[in-house]
Amino acid sequence: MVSRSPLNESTDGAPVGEADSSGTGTSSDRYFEGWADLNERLRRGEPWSGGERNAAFINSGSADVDRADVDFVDAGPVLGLDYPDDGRSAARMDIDFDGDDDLIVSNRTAPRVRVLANRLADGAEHLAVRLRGTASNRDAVGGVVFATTTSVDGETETQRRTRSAGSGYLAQSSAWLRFGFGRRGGGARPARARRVKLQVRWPGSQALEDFGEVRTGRRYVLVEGQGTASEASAPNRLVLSPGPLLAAPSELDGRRRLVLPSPTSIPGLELRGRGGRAGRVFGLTPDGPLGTGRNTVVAVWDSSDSAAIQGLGDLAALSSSAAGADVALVSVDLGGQRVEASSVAGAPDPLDFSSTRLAAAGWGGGVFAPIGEAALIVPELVSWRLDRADPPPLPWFLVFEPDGRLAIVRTGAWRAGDLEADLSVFAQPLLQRPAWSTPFPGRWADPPGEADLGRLRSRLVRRGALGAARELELGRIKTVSLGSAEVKIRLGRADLERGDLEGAVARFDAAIELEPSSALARRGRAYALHRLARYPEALDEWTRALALEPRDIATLGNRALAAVAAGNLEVAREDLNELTRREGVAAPVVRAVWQAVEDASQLPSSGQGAGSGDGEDGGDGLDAPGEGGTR
Amino acid sequence: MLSALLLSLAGLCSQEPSLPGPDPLDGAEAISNSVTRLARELDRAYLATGDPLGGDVGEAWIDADARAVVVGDSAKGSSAKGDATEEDGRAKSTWSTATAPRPISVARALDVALVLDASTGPEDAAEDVRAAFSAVTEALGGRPTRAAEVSSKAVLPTGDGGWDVRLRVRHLRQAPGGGAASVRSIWNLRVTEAPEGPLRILGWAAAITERVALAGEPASEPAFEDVTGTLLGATPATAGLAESIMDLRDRLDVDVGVGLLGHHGVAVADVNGDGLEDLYLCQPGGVPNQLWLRLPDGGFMEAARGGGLDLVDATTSVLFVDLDRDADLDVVLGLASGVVVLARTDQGYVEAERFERTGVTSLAAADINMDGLLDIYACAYANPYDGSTFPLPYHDAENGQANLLIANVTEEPDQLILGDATVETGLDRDGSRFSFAATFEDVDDDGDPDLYVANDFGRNTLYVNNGTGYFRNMAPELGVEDVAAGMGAAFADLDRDGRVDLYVSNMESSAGRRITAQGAFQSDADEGTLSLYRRHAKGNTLFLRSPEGGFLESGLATAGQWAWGGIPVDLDGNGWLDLFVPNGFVSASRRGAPDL
Repeated sequence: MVSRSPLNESTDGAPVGEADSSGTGTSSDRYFEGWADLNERLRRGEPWSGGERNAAFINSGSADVDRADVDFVDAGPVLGLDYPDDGRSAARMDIDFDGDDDLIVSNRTAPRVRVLANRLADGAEHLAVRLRGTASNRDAVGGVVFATTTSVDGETETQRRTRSAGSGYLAQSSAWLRFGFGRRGGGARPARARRVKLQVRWPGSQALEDFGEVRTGRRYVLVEGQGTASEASAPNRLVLSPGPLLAAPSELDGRRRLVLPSPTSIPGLELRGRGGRAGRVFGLTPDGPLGTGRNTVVAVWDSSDSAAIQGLGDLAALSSSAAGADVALVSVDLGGQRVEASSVAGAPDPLDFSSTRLAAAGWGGGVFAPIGEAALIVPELVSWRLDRADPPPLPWFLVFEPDGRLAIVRTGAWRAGDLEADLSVFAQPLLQRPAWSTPFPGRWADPPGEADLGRLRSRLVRRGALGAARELELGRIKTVSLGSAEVKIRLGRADLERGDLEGAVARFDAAIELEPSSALARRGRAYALHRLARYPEALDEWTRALALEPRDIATLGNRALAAVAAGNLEVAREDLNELTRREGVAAPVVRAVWQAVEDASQLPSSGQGAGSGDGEDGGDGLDAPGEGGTR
Repeated sequence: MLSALLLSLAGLCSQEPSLPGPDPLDGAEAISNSVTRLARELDRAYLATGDPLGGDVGEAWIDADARAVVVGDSAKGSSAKGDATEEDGRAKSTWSTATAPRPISVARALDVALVLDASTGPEDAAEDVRAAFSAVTEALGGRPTRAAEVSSKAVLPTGDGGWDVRLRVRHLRQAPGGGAASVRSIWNLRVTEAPEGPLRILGWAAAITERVALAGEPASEPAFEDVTGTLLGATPATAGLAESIMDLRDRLDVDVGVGLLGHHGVAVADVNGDGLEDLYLCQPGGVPNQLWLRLPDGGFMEAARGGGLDLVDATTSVLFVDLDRDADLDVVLGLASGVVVLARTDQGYVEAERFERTGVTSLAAADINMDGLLDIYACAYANPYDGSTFPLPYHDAENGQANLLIANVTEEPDQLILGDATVETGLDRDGSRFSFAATFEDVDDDGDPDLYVANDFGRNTLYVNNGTGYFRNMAPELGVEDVAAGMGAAFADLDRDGRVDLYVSNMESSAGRRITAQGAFQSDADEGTLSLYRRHAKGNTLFLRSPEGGFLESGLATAGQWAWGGIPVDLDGNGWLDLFVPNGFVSASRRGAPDL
């Protein structure tokens, strides 16, 4: 299997910012990007070699003795076989019992199956043969039948057919082997059937078994070792009137109801309510998803669209059903945020406007607007579940389990009765959920597993919702193993990136306890301590990390900075000399340390160490701990 | 053929790396698209008014510098002079299938070259345009009944700002009560880019290259008719079949498993043993597979549920074969999660075994070791279209999933004993090549089944059986590697010499050419590699068995476009097997969908 997979990082485990670098450099990057681009286009419904007409190459045969002189011409259009379907699998079968082979074709486009009755060969002489193995396999798969006719002047012609199981593409054709003999003379049906000599080479044998002469227009079963063909009764010939599969009228009307076969955690959504209230709902923790404790319906809309309030549908029915069933209701106004961005201090809260309109429509739930990444996350959730590049038009309704996992995605107007329908799903055991995920009843041999959070993560990264992407990392590693040092380190890194420095120190402590020789864990701990302005501890930890990986330039540079901040200019100058020797005076890390040492020498107070600022890495030389110093 | 090659070379040598998708278009392709649009507009005007220049723009298409065309014979590479007509360049070869009930007649002719006359004017050019359409009508026996279809195009710059564009065009006339005829022609257009506005025609030479006509009785009926609705009726089950893959994807959660590409096969078998063959339709995830049982009166009844065969898992393929010699048919299913084998017992279907793979394509059965028990070969496809794997290198990829040989060592009826014997049979070699199709046939007539496997991104394999069920890939020696995007394979004796021939469904046409343009990524590729890339888009391959033992590539029946499961079938009942080829990769989703 390929290790490289730009669309699905669920298995690569690479942290954000490394797996998703645009990497325009190499040809293989462009190759993978080409595939990614192609896949996205196809998911948008863009065509690629679509609308092609199925081909039917007629074999002209040859009147010559030289049998290699066959020729083929595509007669699809004149035969009525040139449907512009995205055709896939084809099998042959005598569907109307008239002796000739008809066609069964499956398509990607609608209609997804066509049974094509053959009128072209009507009136030709046919012979159908079935094999039954006795010594060989019972279906006689692999058996070969030779059918030979002799003309009045003694010339013989032989047709060869093999009984196969699996041929073409995804297809198994009829077990009846058919031989055609055309039609003698013009116009009228032949007065007498033709005589045909049948011989069989059974599977595993090189010898021919002779079955004597049979007559066209009939069906025969040939049993291995019997030597005589037994005639099988043929069903009455059917006259089938033309009539393709009728397309059902689309009732979609923008309304969809996607029941996830397996409810899934989602990143937390930060929401702002009226009057400055703000909070976070849903999300992942190392201990599992965060829920509201109740089934929750999140209605997503856009108040800046004047028709949006009608588009939401029957909110009064939703509200009254929710109140009766202890279901929490949350509305998220994606339009409010745009207003907010341009609002000036003292202007009325746009959410007041949302709230008024929702209330007038009968809404009985919370009124919120997204903060930050929530506005990016919500549309990606919907696109992710539909496996498409962009979400369908608003409104959307996201229905959650009490534990905070997303269970149902609806689009389009809410209708009375929808909540009851959803609650009936929740009332069933979770194991039943795959059965609810499709409107067609049937049996799962292998029900779908958990949702692929790796794909959601990739989407969020592409949208720039990096915080949410990191949160998904947390959720993912929970399923790996919480016990290992590697996981603790990852948790620590995630804490760091969220700005939870104390939490990060605790994670790295735990990691070091499990694996004292992990330079990665020690660098992480040192970095966190450094950012916490606990410089002497940071200096010690950088020193330990350096002992484990003496050649790591970033660690050396960071130790120098920590030494400056801790007031230990002696160590700092030694490190600066070493850095200069290794990297040269022009290296950014050397210049950063040199500047810090220089500043500290002039202002010998210990509070203003380089790198102790906001941690945004503004060229101060403090490098975030990487996976290692080897690259 | 030559011009297609030139274009693909142009794509390969372009500076800009091309994406596998429809874009970006280079200049030549943009010109050819404009010319195609122009040709379609003229065709529409002709269908509507009887005059190709009778539309809105009309003779304004014709440039003031336009000249009459003098036709040359490109086959000879010379330019004819004077009053040569298209008949002169034509090699007539008419034949008809004399023994078929409804004769199909075919005439073929050579192509022409485009040479502009020195002295004539735009009026003569307009006359050439009209003459081209008249010739088509004459050949069809009346006005076309549907719009012209352009199947391929080639563009060459003339060096002075103009372009020579070659379009292959097909017209069809379906006359009620009068049979049908189709005409292929080549339209050679010289065009110039007008300073402002659309292209202008400098000259127009058309040549009819092929005429196919169906006649005879009953001429009032189409030769083939879709009777699906008549047979299956209108039920909830057929409603699912009437929905396209994209429509299903639009209303089911992604994990339900409606794959983008719609790979769902069909099987014909007497499932319930009543002597009538039934129909099993594999379906995408969320849509139960359908078992249409044939009723004695000829009708069908959907009965998958009663038999326990109503799997909702995404199903690509199925085989109904008797694995335990108890005279009923057991079931092998190719699912998105692997191969599942169900034993048919008195208690219905009982799961006997499953073999995990993430995505199975075609299945094929044969008794590989002559123990009287059918074994199963399953193609496992690693799917680059869902981003799980990408073929490396594109033209010769071997980094797919491992295909599977399931050995059958069953001893008791209904107690199937099956095991993975891929390695033991030697089939692990070249066995991870993104395989789409596999089929068994005794190619060397030694009594044991051999196995051909069609692979998507590179060479195919022909595993020759040594008689004990151990296989060796001899595709190179036998000449059937067929480096291409292989998607379907079928053996049959097509030339009636008593030996089996081989038809491989591949990818052809401009879309394929763009795929081969991925060769631009391989900037350091040598000529051998580049020719492999080009071959990738050349179309289907018909290998005829040579008396010397190997197979010879015939060059016949190649133009199947983006082909999938081409099968040999005697369409006209004359004993010569024909080839039906379902094709088309991904059509645009329905327009007017509410969300687009």
